[in-house]
Amino acid sequence: MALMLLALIVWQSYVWLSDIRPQVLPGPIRIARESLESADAIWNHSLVTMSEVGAGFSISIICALTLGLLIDMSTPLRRAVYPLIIASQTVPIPVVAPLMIIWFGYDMLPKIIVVGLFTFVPIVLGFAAGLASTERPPINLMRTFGSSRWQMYRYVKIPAALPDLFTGLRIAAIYAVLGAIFGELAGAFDGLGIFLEQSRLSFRTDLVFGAIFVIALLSYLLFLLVVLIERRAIPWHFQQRES
Amino acid sequence: MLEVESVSKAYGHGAERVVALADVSLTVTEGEFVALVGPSGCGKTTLLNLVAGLDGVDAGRILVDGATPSASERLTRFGYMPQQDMLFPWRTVLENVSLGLEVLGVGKREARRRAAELFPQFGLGGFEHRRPHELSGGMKQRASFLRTYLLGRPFLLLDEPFGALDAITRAQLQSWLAETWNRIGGSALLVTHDPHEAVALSDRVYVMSPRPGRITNVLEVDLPRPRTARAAETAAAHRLIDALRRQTEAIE
Repeated sequence: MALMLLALIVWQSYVWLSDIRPQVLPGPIRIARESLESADAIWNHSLVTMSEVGAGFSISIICALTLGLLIDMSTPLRRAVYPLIIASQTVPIPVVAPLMIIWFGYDMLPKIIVVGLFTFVPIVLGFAAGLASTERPPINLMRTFGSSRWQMYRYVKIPAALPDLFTGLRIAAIYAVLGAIFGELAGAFDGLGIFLEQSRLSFRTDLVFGAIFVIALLSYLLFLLVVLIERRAIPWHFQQRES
Repeated sequence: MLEVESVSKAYGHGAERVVALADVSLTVTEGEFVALVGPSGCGKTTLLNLVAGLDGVDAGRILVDGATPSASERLTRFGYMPQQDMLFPWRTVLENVSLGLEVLGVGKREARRRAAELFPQFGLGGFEHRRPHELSGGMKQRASFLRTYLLGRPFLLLDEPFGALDAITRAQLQSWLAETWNRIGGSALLVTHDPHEAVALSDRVYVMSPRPGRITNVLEVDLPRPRTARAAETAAAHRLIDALRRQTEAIE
């Protein structure tokens, strides 16, 4: 906190002393003032981006949980799908985003897909690793109870996988907003990405900084939301670690 | 009644093939408490897992009350208590203890009622809604034992239940189990590496040696029943423990 404040002071002092043009580097005070001036526009664009993130992240979670369960249940499926998941991470998503626009147009869907591409893999990998981490002894104990496969997942494998799943979700949350921005930059009418691009093209560098700040803030809030849900969902995980 | 007849089991293939059990036979009659003693790696846990139905035999037969159920049929015939307490951190102690009943299809509420009733008797009263990490090592094992006992299966398979505990807690739990056994009855097969524990609890002890696992000695424990906490402190018991200790040390 103190470090951030110090950086802001140094930044502002530099802007004052060097007489640098605000189109090149605006000071924090100007950024804050101008952004507040455009608060309505930023808020409206944020709402669009947030709804893209909300829809994309939710759908991504549902798909990732389903695929995670499936690849844990079927070894052939795991062997087939795992290399694809890893390979998909080497594809530069900013390059793919324009394709989405070509295929699916300018509305919500391509952004949801790009958010999904950004967030899907860490969730699947986290969940699948968690499911695979259950060791032999608890599985054997459940077998002697006469446990069905479904009960094995319900009572042991899924609860045991939750800490790893949340690790994946936290990583995914950091990338989710970024995914929506990339989706918008490839083609959209509104959203924070569009606001950013418009500000840049009209040399409003102060608003570019404002947009970047809001994007970072949204990412941080989403991350915080995941952490809060994690604290509520698996309190036993933290209690156990403390003792 | 349990009869293990000439059972063999090997793991791995080719050069890595390890014979875990070679031609092992033993019997546990109705109401008997039988111990299986041997150094680690002698295959005693393997044998217990085969009886429990967690794995199939390569050769030989396992008879239960004269019939030969398959491994998957045996899974639900015995009350199996694992070596580690295996209490799940996401469940309270009560929810852990009632888990076996819930899996068996007893309603959640009924399962928890039945489990809660026995908490005081098992020295767990007041800890129903705590988490497992709040229990002492001894209490965890008692909770684990209660979970197995609640299944209502009259034949118990106990895999080194007190192996991970310190010496004092282990001694306390041994006498606790001896006294609990007097009350609940039934048959049991206990795996242990502790001669004292074997003599204190059982009617007969099989001694196993490793590589490949086989039974080298059988010792009848003719100490009076019901056993008290001091059963293993008598001169007769000490002679048995010494004899057993010499036999196991000769193996190691």
